[in-house]
Amino acid sequence: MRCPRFARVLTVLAAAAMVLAGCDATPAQTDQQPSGPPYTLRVLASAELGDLQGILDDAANATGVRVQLTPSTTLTIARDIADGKADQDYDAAWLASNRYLSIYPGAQAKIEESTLTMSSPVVLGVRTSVADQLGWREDTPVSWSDIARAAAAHQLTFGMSDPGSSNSGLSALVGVATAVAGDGAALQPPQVARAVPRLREFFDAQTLKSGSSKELADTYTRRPEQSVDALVEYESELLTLNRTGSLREPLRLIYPSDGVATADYTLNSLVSAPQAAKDAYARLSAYLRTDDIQGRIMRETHRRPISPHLLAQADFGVHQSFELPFPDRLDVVDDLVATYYGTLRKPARIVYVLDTSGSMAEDGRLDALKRALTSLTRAGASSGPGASFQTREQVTFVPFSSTVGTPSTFDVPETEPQAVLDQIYKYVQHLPAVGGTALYDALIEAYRTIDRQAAQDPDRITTVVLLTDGEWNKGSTPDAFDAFYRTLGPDIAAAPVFPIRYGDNSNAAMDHLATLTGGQVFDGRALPLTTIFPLIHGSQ
Amino acid sequence: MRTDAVLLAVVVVLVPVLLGTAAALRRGGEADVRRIGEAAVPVRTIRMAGDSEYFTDPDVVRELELNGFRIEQKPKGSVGIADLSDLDTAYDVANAGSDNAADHIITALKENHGVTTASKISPFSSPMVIITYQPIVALLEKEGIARKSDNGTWVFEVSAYLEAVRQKKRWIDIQGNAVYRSTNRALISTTDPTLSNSGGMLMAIETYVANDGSPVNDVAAFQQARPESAQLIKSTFVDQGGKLWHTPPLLALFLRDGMSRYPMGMFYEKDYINTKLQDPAALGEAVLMYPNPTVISDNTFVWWGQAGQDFANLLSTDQKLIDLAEKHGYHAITNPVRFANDMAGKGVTIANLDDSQTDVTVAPLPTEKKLTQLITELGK
Repeated sequence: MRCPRFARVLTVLAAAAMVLAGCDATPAQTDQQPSGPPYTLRVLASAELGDLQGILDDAANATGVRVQLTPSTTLTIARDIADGKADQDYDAAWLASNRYLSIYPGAQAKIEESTLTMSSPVVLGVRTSVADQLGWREDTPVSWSDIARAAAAHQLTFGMSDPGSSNSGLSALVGVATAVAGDGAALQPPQVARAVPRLREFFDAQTLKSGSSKELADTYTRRPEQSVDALVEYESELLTLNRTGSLREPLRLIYPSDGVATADYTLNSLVSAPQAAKDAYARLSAYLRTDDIQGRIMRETHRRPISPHLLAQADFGVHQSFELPFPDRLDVVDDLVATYYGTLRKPARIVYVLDTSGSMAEDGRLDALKRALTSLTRAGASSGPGASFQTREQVTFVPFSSTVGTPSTFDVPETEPQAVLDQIYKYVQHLPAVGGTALYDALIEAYRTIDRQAAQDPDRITTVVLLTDGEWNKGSTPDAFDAFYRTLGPDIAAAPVFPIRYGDNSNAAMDHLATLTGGQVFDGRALPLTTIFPLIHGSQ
Repeated sequence: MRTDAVLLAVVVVLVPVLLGTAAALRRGGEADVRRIGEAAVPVRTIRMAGDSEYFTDPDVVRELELNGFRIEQKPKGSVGIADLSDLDTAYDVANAGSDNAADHIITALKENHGVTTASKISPFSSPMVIITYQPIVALLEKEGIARKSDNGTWVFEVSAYLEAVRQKKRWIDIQGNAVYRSTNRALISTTDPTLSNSGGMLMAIETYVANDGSPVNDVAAFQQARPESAQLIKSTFVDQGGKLWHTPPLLALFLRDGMSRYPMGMFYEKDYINTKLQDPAALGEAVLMYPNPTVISDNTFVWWGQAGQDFANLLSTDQKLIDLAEKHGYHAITNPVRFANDMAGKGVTIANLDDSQTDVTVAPLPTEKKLTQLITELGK
């Protein structure tokens, strides 16, 4: 069959049709990219799509369409589209899955055109040694029930992204809930309540949380590997992790035998976009579906191409994985997510190590700190993940200057949290600013506090936030802290330090603390604390 | 029944619309001469809401260009077309998966855009089928859902299927099933019937069966008289969970992921034939089944201006375009009888639904209004 030169009028379907017509990647095809006037397409995208940057740069050369990706999370994007928040600022939305556009009322009507671009199922990546202990080989059928059982029996800890914002996290929640309470059909509202006891056992084994799948993979590589046995992640992210060579132990991919939820990355144009954007969208989506680019997506990002012929050339393993029936009802999804936040989620323990030395009085730094902490007590639960202290959280403040102050702990109750939030508010208002910087003494006290707290209440995900504006000049030395940290048991050492660059503190010292403990540095000079605290908080 | 339906369609659709049709058909052999003579006709761009792979076929593109048309397609499910806010101004033609969907679009043009001059024509049609895989056929046979007809095609008994759904049967519940150990319910995968015609066609089929072999023409009365059947039909859609919005993506993923993801899917017969003829490797071991009863979906074009009308006329009269439609698996309305034979000649075995001996019933569709109502009530 002859493979013709398609004019741009054929756009989107051309690529698919050429595949169907048996026009595989012939050299002639590469010069058939539809091109047109330059256009910058504003695309709201699931965060993990940042790994396509190289391909998108080439797309700009070939088609004239430069893609400006704004990273977000799948559920957040779907909500923004439904609420009309995406209409003005974006031309297109590239989601891990369009299923949420069917769920949020009004979202589907905002979509002009949709193009499947690639796929990746959400699976479980288990450290090889742990998988061996559990007897889970590549070809062993392991169900979501088996996974929940291993977690309940303390044979498996895992990390997962936030199911309230991230498709991969919600896929796991749906998978386990369907396995324990479903009847093989998409989950119905009464079944969610029935699933709670088993879900709670499952989530007791969660030792790592993150806001998105991308962040989960990044965080995992920074943590001591023993602290997390497995990740609920896209197949593509796990294959990428395994190939970076940065893991001491590869992750074995387990495809839950009762069903995986596949993300079929769909690029959508918005009805509200201008005509030039819609033309650009058509050129870009046709380009992304050419065999050349589909092959590159497969090789560079380990996502599955849409063409069966290209997929047949790839090695994605031998497993047979069925597809999970994914609930398409808002009440079911809302119910699941609310249950997760309210009762399933392992509550956070956050220790704020706060510099109250004399220098914090300069440039209004202490006032900025107070404002940022105060906003966490005032935002209200509906302001988005991380915007406020959550119910069931345990918050401890370790203030320090020349010496370390007494740690103060606040337990935010499951119901009627406002009274405790008011106590936190009052505490924060009275923080002084005087004296030197006994930074490492304060960190040592923070980990001792965690040790005491964990002895009574171990089932929490713990984080240390360090805010200091100066160099250490009092008390224990950096080396003394390192030596102390290495004596900690693995459960306690698993709590990472998130240092915030602020005032004149030493970049090198902050980087070292983050690397040592598996944390991450935030830049308080580039971003206001009122932004950074919710970021750290929301990922817990 | 099928022949009557075709005749009726020809009378209803063609006669009021086309005056020169019969003449054009008779002079089909002159087409080449005319083409050479008219190679320089000015080309008009037809902006089409809805899409099919037919219009990307280079031979179709060439034939249309020789007759002065170039097509811009907007991929969109049949129901989604009716919701386009700029349908009247940004498009010339709507390409709907069925006559019903076309009526829905005509209603939308009238009610939302004040366009009262829209007309329609159905030059091609395709019966609804189920595409599945051999191991699944074997399981369905055990359950009395699948049986082989005399001409070797597979028949899918819808009433037996509905009974299995009533029992909430999962694949692993099927006795002796060692090949497909899925805990998922045994359900046909469809598109979202509120957005796409092919999903809605299953609604027409199931309600016809539940309504004792006649199309539902009073939805409220049907729900009242048969509440259990109504709930059962609803569950065939709701229990699937999330669905795609359009048939081509469903076909693409069905072909790519094989039976592990979609053990059986609702498609047009032309989807099977087209893939079988153009890209047999993609079809692999897929098996064609005819639901009994099935319905015929008429690929219907709606227009409301001169360019659209001229284009629609050409589609239904140009012999070359009609022959090319068959290449993509469409039954041409002007050629109902020899289609199955033509396909057999190309190595594609299909059921001859025009044959009075066929053991697959072709059910008439409910009216557009009633089907939309059924989908609203039971499709989500």
